[in-house]
Amino acid sequence: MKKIFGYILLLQLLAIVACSPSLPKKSSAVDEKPAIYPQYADITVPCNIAPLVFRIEEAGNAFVTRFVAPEKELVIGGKEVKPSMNDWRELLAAANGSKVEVQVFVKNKKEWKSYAPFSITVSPDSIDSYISYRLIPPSYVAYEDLKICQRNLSTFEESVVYSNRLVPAEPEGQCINCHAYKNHKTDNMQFHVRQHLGGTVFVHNGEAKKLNLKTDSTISAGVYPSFNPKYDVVAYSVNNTGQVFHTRMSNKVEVQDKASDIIVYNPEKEIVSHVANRTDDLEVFPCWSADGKRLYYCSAHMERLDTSMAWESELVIRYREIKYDILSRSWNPETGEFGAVDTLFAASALGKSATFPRVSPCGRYMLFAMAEYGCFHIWHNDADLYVLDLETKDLKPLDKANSPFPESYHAWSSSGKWILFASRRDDTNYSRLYIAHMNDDGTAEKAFLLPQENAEYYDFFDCSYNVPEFMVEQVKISPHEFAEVVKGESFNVKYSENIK
Amino acid sequence: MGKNVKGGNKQVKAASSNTLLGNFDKLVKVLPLLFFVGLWAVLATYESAFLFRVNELSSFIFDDLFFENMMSKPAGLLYYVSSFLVQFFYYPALGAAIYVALLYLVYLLVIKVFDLSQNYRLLALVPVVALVASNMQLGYWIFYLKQPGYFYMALVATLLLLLALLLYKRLNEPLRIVFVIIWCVVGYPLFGAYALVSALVLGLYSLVTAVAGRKKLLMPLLTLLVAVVAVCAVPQVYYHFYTSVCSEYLYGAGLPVTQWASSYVAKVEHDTKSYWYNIYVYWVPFVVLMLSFVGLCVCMLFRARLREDSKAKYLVAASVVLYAVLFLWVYWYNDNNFRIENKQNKAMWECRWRDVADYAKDAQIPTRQVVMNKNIALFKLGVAGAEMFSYPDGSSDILAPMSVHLSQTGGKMTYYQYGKFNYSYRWCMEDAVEYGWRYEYLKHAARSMLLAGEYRLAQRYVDILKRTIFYRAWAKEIENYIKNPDLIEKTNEFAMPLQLFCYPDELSVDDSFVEAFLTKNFKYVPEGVTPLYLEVALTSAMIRKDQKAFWYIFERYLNECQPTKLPKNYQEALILFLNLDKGNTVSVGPAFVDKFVSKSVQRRLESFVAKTKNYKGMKEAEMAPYFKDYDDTYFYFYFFIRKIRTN
Repeated sequence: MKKIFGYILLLQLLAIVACSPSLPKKSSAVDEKPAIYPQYADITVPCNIAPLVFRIEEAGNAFVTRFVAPEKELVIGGKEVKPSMNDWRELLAAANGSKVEVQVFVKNKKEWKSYAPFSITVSPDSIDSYISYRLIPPSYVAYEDLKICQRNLSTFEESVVYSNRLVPAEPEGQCINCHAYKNHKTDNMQFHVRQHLGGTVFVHNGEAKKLNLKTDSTISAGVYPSFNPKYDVVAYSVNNTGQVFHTRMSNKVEVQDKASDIIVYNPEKEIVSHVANRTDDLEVFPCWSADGKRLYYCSAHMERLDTSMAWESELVIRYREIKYDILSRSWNPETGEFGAVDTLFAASALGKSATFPRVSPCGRYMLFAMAEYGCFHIWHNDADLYVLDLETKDLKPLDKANSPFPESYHAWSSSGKWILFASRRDDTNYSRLYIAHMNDDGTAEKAFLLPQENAEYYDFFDCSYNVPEFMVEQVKISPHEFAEVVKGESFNVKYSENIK
Repeated sequence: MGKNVKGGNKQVKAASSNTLLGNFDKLVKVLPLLFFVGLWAVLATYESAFLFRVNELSSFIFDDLFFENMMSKPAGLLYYVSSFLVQFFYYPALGAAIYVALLYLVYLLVIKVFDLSQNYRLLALVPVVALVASNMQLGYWIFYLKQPGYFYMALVATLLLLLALLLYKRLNEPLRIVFVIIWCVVGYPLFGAYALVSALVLGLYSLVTAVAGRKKLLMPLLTLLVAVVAVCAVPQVYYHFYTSVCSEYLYGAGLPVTQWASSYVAKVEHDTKSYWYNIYVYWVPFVVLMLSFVGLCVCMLFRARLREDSKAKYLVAASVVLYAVLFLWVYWYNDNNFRIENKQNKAMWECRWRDVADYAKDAQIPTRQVVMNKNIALFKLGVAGAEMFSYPDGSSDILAPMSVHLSQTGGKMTYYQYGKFNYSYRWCMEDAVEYGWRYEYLKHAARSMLLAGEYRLAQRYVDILKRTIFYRAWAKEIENYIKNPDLIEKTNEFAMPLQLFCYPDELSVDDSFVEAFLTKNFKYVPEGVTPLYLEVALTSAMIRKDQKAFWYIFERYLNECQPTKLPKNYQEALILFLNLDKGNTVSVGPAFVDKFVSKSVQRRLESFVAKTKNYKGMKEAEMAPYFKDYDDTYFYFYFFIRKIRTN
C-alpha cells in the first residue's frame, strides 16, 4: 500500500516538474519589447496591487515569461501570463521600492526568441484597498442593467453596491449614477436613481434614506456631487441635460446641458441653497478644496444669439463654442456665506474647455480634464488629464498617463499618491479604468489598466467603467438594503437662501 | 347453417372491429410521425427566413464571461443551453431538425412517463403543440424579447421535467420528498420558474399515482405540501444571493413576465383589430403547457376506466387532432409583411438584391420596412429612379401589441446602407443594452465601424464573432479588410454605403424614427456629394412629396450628374410637379420637357388627369381602386399613397 502511495506521489511530482516551465537554454535575442495586452511594460504599480495578468501578442507555439526581482525569480509558461496570488505577493514584496524585470521568450516553430526585457516599478506607496465604479454599457440613451460595484485592488474580488435589477423597473427603466463618498469612507456616501422610484440615496453617518433634492427654486434634483471633506455639506450641480449624436465623427455623442447651476445641501437641516445660478452661465462639476473652505466648479458662458430657435437647438449648432472655465468661491463654514467668484483657470482663453476638477487630498494640486469644447469629456477623443498646481498655478498635462483617446472621470487616492481614471484608449469606445502613480511634483507615471483575473477579460466585457472612486473601506450597506431604501418614500428637502 | 350464419356474422363483426382497431392503431402511430415530419418541412421551408432571423437575434459566444453573465441570474443554465441550441437555426433545415427532434423526444417521454397506452398516445402531442405555439406566435416579439434563447427555453425545461419525472417514478415516497427539495434548490438557479412549476407537477404526480393505485395518501400529500413550501421559499432564499433580480420578479425568472405585461404596451394605438394586439394572448401556450401536465396527471386517475371504454379513445384522438389543428392555426403568426421583411433581411446579408426587391411585390400593403428594403435594393441594382414607385407602397399597421420601431427591426441595416455608420452603430449599442448583444448587432457594429474607419472598434466585434460557430468565417472576412483597408474600396458590397458616406459631420437625433430621420437628413445636400447621394436625396424629396426640395435637388442633379436621359420615375415626378406648379416657381420650355420626359410618360399623365375627372367629388382613398392601372407610376404614389407613417 505504501508503495502505491509512493508511486502516486512520484507521479504527481513528475507531473508538476513536467508542467513547470523552464527557460529555454538557447534563444536568439530580439531587440524590441514583446507586444503584450494589457500594456504593462514600464509602469509603476503599488506594492499591494493584484497580479498583473497579461497575454503575449506575438506569434508562437510556446511561451515562457521570467519575472526577476531582487532575491526572487518567477517563471511562468503560456501565452497568458497569470502569476498566482502567492507568487505575485512574494514578488512584489521582494521588489518593493525597486523594479521587477520581465523577459518574454517565444518559441516560433523550433526557434526560441528572447524579447528585450521590460520593467515594472514597484512603488512602496500602497494604494487604497478598494475602488468603486458604475458599470454601464457605452450606450447613448438606453439603459437596462446598471450597477455600482466595488473592487478590492489587491485581489480580483468584485461585489455589487447597488444594481437597478433589484427593483422592478419595467417598462420605464431606472438609471443609477453619481456615487460619491466623503473622504474615501462609506459612512457618508450617496448615489442617484433616476426615472422609476427616482431620488438620491444618501447615507449620512451610516444611515441611508432617499432624498428628493429637487425644489421649486432649483432646475433639477442634484446631479454631480462633492462632499465637503471637513464640514457636513454636499455641493451638487443641478442640470437639464440632453444628448445629441454625431453623424460621422468618432466622438459619437455630445452631452450638453441646456441649463445648469450649483447648489449645496445641508444634510442636518435638510435644506439646499444656490451657489451659482447665473442666467447665461452653465455651471457644473463642483469640487471642494481640501480644507473645505472653497468651492471650485466649472462654468461656461453662453449667451443666446438667436431667439427664433429653441435654446437647445442653438446649443447643438454652437456646440464647439461651449467652453468651460474653472471658477471658485470661498465659503465661510460659520456663516454659510459664499465669497465673490474667482476665476481659477480660464481654459476658454486658451480655446479649451476644462471640466471635472478634483483637488488632491493634500490640497496642492487640482486634476481636471481638458478638451476643445463641451463638458462631457469622456466622449471627446482629445480630452486629456491636466494638473494645476494651486500654489504656483503651473499647468501640466499628464503626458505619461494620457493617450490620444478620451481620459476623464479621474479621482485621487486617499494618500494622493495614485490617481484612477477612465479612458477609452483600448478600443476607442469602452471606457476602462487606468491607475497612475502621482509624483510629488504633480507629474504622473505611465498608467496601467486595472488588472483582471484573465487577460481576455476586457475583450468581451461589454460595459464601460465610469465615475471610479477610491475607497479605504467597503460599503457596509448591502445591495438589498439599498433596494429597500429605493423602494421607499423620498424625503423632500427644502430651499433656503443660506445653507446654514 | 344458422349457427354458421350467426358465427359468420360474429366473424364479420370481429373482422370489422379488428380492421377499425387496426386502422386506429396505425393512425395513432402514423399521425404523430406525420405531425413531426410536416412540422419540420414547414419550419425548414416556409419559415426558414423566420428561423434564420431568430438565430440572428440571439448569440452564443464561447467565452467564460458569456457563461458567467448568463449564470448570474436565475434560469441561467436554461438561457445558456437554449442560446446554444438557437444558433443552429443559422441553417434553418438543420435547426428545425434539432428542434423537431427534441419535440419528438418530449412526445416519447410523455408517453413513457405517463404510461400512455397505444390508444391514448396522441395525448402526448398536447404539450408538444403548446411548445410549438409558444414560439410560432412570436412575430415581432423576436426583436423585443429580453430572453436569450427564448425559442428553446420552454422546450428544454419540459424535457428536464420529463426526465425528472422518469427518475421520480422510480423513487419511493420518502425519497421523493428529498428529490422535490433538491429539485427546487438546485433547479431554481438553473431553470428559474420552470423548476418551480415542475416541482409542483412532481408533487401532483405523487398524489395522483397514489390515488390511482389506491395507496395511502399521507406521504404523497406531504410531498405535495413540501413542493408548495419549497416553491414559495426557495426563490426568497436565493433572492439574497442575487443582485440581478428583484423580489417582485423572483417567481417569473426565465419567463418574459416583465414584457408580456399590459404596462409595456399601454401606449400603443392600432388602426386595425387583431387578437395579436392583446398582450395576454401570448401567455396562453404557456398556460396550456402547464395545464397539459396537470391534465396528464389527472388522466392517470381515469386510466383504468378509460381502458374499458373503447369509444373514449376515438373521442380523445379526435379531440387532440382538432386541438392541434386549431391551436396551431390560431397561434401560428402568419403576417405576410413580417415574412417578407425576414426574407428580405436574409437576402440583404447574402447580397441577393433582385430578390430583396422582388419579395416586396408580394406585399399587399407593405410595412415601411419592406418599402425601405426594396428601395435599398433598387439603389444597389442602379434602377431606383426607374422602378422605385412601381412596387406596392404604403405603411401597413404592424401586427404586434407593442410599438415597433424600425430602429429595432431593420434600422441598423438601413442606416448602414445609407452610409450613416454612426447611427447604425448607435442602434447596435442601444439595442444591445436592452436586449443583449446579438449576432445581427455584432455584425452591423463590425461592418459600420469598418467603413467608418474605426478599425480598432471593428476588431473588437470581429474578435467576439470569431468565438462563435457560424459567424467565424464572416468575422475573418471583415478582419481581412481591417488588416488590408485598401481592399474596402474595391469591394462591390461596400460601394453604396461608402458613396453615401460623403457628408460633413453634424449633431442630430432620430428619436428612433429611422425613415423620417433619413428623408429629413437627405433634404440638406452638402456640396461635393456623389451622384448616388443626389439620387437618394431626390427620391427622398419624392417620397416626402416635397416639391420645393425636389426642384432644388433636381437642378443639382442635372448640373452635377448631367444625365442625357431621366429614369422613368424621375420623368413622372418632373412632369407632375411642372403641372402642379403651373409655372409659378419653375419655368421651363417645351424643349426641356421633350428632352427629359418621354412622350409615353407625358401621355400617361394626360390620361391619368383625364381619368380623375370621372371621379370628381370622391376622396383619394375611394378613387384609388379605380386607378390600379397607374400603380406603377409616381402619379399614383403622389395622389393615392397617403399618410405614410415613418417609424
